[in-house]
Amino acid sequence: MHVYPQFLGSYGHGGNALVLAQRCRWRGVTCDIHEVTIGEVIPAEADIYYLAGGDTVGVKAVAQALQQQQGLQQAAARGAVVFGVGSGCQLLGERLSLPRGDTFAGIGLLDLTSEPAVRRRFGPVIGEPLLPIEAPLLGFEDHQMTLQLGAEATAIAKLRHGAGNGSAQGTEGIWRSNVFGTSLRGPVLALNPSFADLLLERVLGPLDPLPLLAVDRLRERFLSALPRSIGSRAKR
Amino acid sequence: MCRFQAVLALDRGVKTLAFALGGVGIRLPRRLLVRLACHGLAAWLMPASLALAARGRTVVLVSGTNGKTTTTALLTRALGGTVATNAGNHNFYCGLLDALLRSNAPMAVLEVDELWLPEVLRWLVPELLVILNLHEDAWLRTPDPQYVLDRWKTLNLGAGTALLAWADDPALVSLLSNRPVQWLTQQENDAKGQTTLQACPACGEILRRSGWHWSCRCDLRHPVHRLGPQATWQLSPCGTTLHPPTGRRPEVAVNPGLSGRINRRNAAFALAGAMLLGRDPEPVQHQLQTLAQLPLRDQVYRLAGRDVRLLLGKNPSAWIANLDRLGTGGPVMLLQQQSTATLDLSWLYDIPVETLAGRQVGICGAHALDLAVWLTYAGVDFIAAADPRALVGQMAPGELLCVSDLLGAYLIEALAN
Repeated sequence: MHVYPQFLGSYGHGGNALVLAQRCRWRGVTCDIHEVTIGEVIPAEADIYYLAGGDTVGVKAVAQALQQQQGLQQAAARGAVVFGVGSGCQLLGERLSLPRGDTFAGIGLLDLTSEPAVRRRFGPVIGEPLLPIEAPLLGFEDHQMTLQLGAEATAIAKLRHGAGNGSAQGTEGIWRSNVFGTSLRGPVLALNPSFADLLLERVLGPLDPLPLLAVDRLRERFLSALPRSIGSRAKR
Repeated sequence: MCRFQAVLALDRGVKTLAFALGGVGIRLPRRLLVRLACHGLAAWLMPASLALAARGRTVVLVSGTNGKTTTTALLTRALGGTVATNAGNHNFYCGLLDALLRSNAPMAVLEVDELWLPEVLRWLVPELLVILNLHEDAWLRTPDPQYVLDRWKTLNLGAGTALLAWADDPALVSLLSNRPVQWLTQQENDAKGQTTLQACPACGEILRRSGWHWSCRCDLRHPVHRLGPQATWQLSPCGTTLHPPTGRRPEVAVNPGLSGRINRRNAAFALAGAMLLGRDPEPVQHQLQTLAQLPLRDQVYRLAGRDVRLLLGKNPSAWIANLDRLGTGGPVMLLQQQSTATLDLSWLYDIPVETLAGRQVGICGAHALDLAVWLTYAGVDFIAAADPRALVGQMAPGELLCVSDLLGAYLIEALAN
C-alpha cells in the first residue's frame, strides 16, 4: 500500500514500492501496488505499507490526513510491515518539526522525533547494518533534519560514512518490530536488495536469494567511487 | 598576458596586505588568498559590469526550472533582427555578460539560472520577465522547489517590468499573486500536471483540483478563478491555439517548428512575450516555424552513419515532457553521462519508464549501470554498449531517438562532429 504518493513520492522514492513489487513477482508471488490518496480511507488489510519522502510543502497536508486515519496503526499492530523514507519516516515518529517552525504530531509507530538541523547534509552514506542483513547499507542523503531515536528504537545501520540521523551515535535510520524508516535515497531498496528482501521476508517468510548482476555492479561502483579508505573498509 | 600581469599584481597586493595584517600570508597558502581575492574582485566587478553592458537596451529575461534555453531561443527568433542572447546553458553572470558584450543589439533576450535570478534582478531591469515553471530538479543545488521559491521571495521587480508567468503552477501563483502578472495557462485535464504541487505553498493545505483548475481554502487560487478567463493568456489543451486576454487579438495559432507538446507551451510563451513587446503575431508565428532544431536540446545528429534525434532529459519533468515525443514503436537510446555531485540518480525513478516496455531500448554512458538497474526493476528489456556509436550500430532500423542528460548531449555533439 503506497500511502499518499501524490504528496509523498518525489526524489525517486516511489521506486522503493516498485522494487518490492518486482522482487515478489520475480519469485512468482503475486503483488499489486495499491495507492491511497488523501481523502480516502487507508485500508488495514495490506501486507506492506510504504510512505515515501516528499517536499516540505506536502508534509503538513499528509501529517494532518494521517492523524485522521487508523488503518496504518491497526495494520502495524497486527504485524504488517510499515516502511517510511525521508519525511515518510519522520511522520511515523512521535513529532516532526520543519525548518520554517511548523511542528506536527506523527502517528507514533516509532520512538522518534525529528528536528531541523543547522546544516543541510548530502552525499553518499555507507552503514554497517544493525538489521539482520549482511551487505553494507548504501544510499544517498540529502536533508536538513536530525532524527532523535528514543529508548525503544534501534537504528538500522551504524555509519561508516555520512551524517545519517545526525545524532552523536553516528547511526542511520530506525526500526522497531516490523516498522522501518530511513532517510536514504537511491532509491534505498534498489541499491540494497537485501534490505528489500528483509521487508518481504517479514511477510512471506524466508526467501531464496535473487541475484541481479546490474545491482551488484552498481554497488561495487558506488563503493569504488568513494575515497579508497572508506570504500574498501565498507566492502569487508 | 594582460590577465597574467593582473594576477601577478594581485598576488603582490595580497601578499603585502597579508603581511600588513600580521602575517596571515605565512599561515595561509598564498595561492588560496589569490584565488579568494580574484573571486572577490570578479564578484564585485561583474554585477556592475552587467548593469553597464545592459544600459540603454531592452532586456528580456527568461527563467524557470525547465524550458529556459528553448523559450529563449524561440523568443529570440520571434523578435527577429539582431538580438543579443545567451541561449545554451550560459545562464550565470559570465554568460549574461558575455552575451551583452558580444553584441551591440538594442535588444537582449537572456536566460537566467533560477537560483541566480534574484541576484541578476538587482542589476538588470528587464522590460519583460518570463517565468516558466518551478519543478523538482535533478541537481543538488535545488533540492526542493521550495528552496527556489524561498529565494525568489526577494525578487527585485521594478514597476517597469512586465511579468509573464505560468498560471498552472501554484508555487508561482503563490509567489506572484500580489503583483500584476500576465498569466499564461493551458487547459490540460490530464495527469501531466502532477509535476506541480499538490499542497498549497502558502498554507500547506491540500489543493482542491477540478480538471485544470485548482484552489485552496486560504484563498490562493488559479488566476483564471481570480481574474476571469478573459484576463489571461489561454493555450488550448492541444497547444495549437493561444487566446490572448481581451483587448488583444481573438486568437493566434501556435505552430512552432519544434515538435512536442512542451515545445508548443514554450512557443506560446515566446508568442505571448513577443506580443507583449509590441510585435505583430503574424511574422512571429512565421519566425517560430523556422526554428526546427535546437542544439543539445532537440537536434538530429549524424552518428555512426545514422541520424539520431537527441532529446534532452536532464530531470524528471524534462524526461516526462519527452515521453510524448518518443512515440510508441521505434528504437530508443538512453544516455546518462552525468550524475549530481554525489552520484545520486534517484530521480530516474520518478519517470514512468514502463511505457518503453516492448520496444528496443539501448543504454550507454558513464552511468549506464544506473539506467540498467532502473530499467530492470521497471521491467523494460534493454541492450547496453560502452560507446554511443557502438550502440547506434546495434539499434533496429527506423527513426532513432536518444534521450540524454546534458553531458551526454555534449558527448553526442562531439562524436557527431
